[in-house]
Amino acid sequence: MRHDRAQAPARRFADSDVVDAVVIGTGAGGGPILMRLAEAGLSVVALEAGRRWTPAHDFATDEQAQGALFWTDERLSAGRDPLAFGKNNSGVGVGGSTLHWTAYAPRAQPDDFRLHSEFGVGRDWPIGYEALEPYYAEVERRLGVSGPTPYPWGPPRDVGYPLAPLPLNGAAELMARGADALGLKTSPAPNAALSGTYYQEGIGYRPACSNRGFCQAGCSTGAKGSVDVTFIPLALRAGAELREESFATGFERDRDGAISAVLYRDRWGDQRQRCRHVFLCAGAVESPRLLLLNELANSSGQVGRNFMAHPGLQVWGVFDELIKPTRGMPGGLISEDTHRPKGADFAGGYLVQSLGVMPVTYAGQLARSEKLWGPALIQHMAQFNHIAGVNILGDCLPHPDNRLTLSDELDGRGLRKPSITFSNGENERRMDAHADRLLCALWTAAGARELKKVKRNAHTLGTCRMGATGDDAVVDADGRSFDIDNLYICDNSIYPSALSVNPALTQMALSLRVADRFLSRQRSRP
Amino acid sequence: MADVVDLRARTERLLASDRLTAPTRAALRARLDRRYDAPRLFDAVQMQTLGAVSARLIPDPDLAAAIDLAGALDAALADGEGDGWRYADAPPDQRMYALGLDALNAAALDRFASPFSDLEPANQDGLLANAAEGGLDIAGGNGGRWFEELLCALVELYYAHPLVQVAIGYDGMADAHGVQAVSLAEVAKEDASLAP
Repeated sequence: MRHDRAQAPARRFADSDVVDAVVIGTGAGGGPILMRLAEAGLSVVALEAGRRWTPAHDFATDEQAQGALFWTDERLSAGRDPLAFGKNNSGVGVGGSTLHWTAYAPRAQPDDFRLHSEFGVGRDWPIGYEALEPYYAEVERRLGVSGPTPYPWGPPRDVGYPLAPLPLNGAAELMARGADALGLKTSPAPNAALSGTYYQEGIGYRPACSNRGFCQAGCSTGAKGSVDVTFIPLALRAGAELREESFATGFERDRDGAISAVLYRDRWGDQRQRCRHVFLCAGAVESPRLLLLNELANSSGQVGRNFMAHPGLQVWGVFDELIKPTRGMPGGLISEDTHRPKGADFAGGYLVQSLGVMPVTYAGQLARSEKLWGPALIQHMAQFNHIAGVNILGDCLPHPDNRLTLSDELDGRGLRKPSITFSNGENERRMDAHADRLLCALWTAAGARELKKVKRNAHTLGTCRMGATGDDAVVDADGRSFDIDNLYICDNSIYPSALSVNPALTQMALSLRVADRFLSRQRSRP
Repeated sequence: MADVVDLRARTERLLASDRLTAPTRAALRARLDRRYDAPRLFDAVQMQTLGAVSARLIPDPDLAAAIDLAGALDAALADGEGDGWRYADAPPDQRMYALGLDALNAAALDRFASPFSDLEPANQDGLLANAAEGGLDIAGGNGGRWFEELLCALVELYYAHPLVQVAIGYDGMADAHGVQAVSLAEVAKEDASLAP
């Protein structure tokens, strides 16, 4: 339906203005860039496919009602291990997937960026941990990460976490019990939720977490450091313009091949915003899809290739103790003793975390993974308040055949749907088997019975990887397209390897770095 | 399963209490009161088959009358509430569910000369177990995936229902009073204080 353009909200910039930058997507990729560019005085417009929420007013403590936070345009899943999208991955709305982020915020370790050097498989990143280290610290401060200081794994840090760890919930206490029995070192996990009231200039006070445990269905209090309550308010204060329900569909280019305008669709129809630069931050599915739809930035043939998804086996069990599994942070406890397990028959490694869960998510996962039905399902779910889990998050090797392509099927906008083919390789299978043994032993030692396994892969990574040359990479170490000088890509699509940690914190650090590199190049221009 | 009258009373007390935020109360109220009219996507035979399937997958005779899972699934599919993905080798959701129900009923007629909905529970379970293993022949589709998708959809609808959530003792929705008990010791203490 077309609406009267006169009803549209007032704009800071006109379509005909040539703005310094258009940022496509407002999640962990685009949010930090939007803030940095606006604070540097650039004119910036952000296009967000979803709407801007008012969490206290809009967010119910109810999983089904919160379904609107998920990206539900249909994706086709193929391969030996077809991936579940929707609830499992991308988000929609200002804040992107950080709206339903667990808030788990460990840093990658230095060797994660050098997987190929260490093991002869996978890819090295064109930048190392040192390049991201100051940005990790900045992001932790901006989000208000609660965590242990000192952190027990990885290199020593100049600054500790800004807030003390959050309280441990039942799953975390039980994991500590099992890990003690096995000799596995654990620690309260770094989580991007506040263990105390937190004040930030330009944002004001954010409250301490109330332990409601609905991080993955939207934080209604603002305690979680999702992008909508951290980077976005500062970007808007600095003059960025945010256009909601605006879906990017294409680009205009000038005679030299540079992008001169972004084409997008909003409630009022097809729109066009002229610009000097574009930052494509729509995630590892929509970013490559937009490039493939427009046959853009793909002289390397790498757009869509090397799609990765972290091995994320979960093991659940029933305990005597009353747990109430939504209480507290879902991922309360961490161990990185398995970062490079001794005697492992695979490259890389994984982390282990404790897991709380919401009931619909839990029941749905069990149905899908264990095909639990009938009286067995009813009896198991009747013990919901006694359930706790552990899971892993492991590295995933890039493989060129794991890829995103365009299907011939059209979506509601008339655009070709993305099709994602994914198969775990030998390395992922061996890691999964290793983790299976460890998690079952851990949970048995902790006192669990009725063990249930949920085999899964998490996150969407790769498809526009960064690298040293345009022969086999889409963007350089600064996120800049090898083909189009004024096109930057910065989201999980540019990860050359998956890293053995959850991607959000690293993404935000990477985005700040990409923005700073861009700004310093602009300043040094004659 | 608890007495449904009692369960309904407890659920109403929860909804009337100040332990829910306004958006939470609105969401649960709407779901509790929701009734489904004539099916919009499935035909009468498919609805009968679906009702019988859901009674075996989620055997809960006391609550089945109060929670119209078949109606809820029909409505969700007819409204086009996609879940963001589907198996590339499966037909679109709206067609896939119907094809699977048809195939299951055809298998019942073929093997027992009776519609699925009229079979003895043990025979229904046998056909469903076969479907779970991928043994159901679906035109243009994969029987195992149909079973997985249907089970997952029904289970999610079921455990989202306020009566079921109250029945399993889940109280995570009641978060309007601020900071909640977290540790095992605190949760046990809280539970003791709530006991009658």
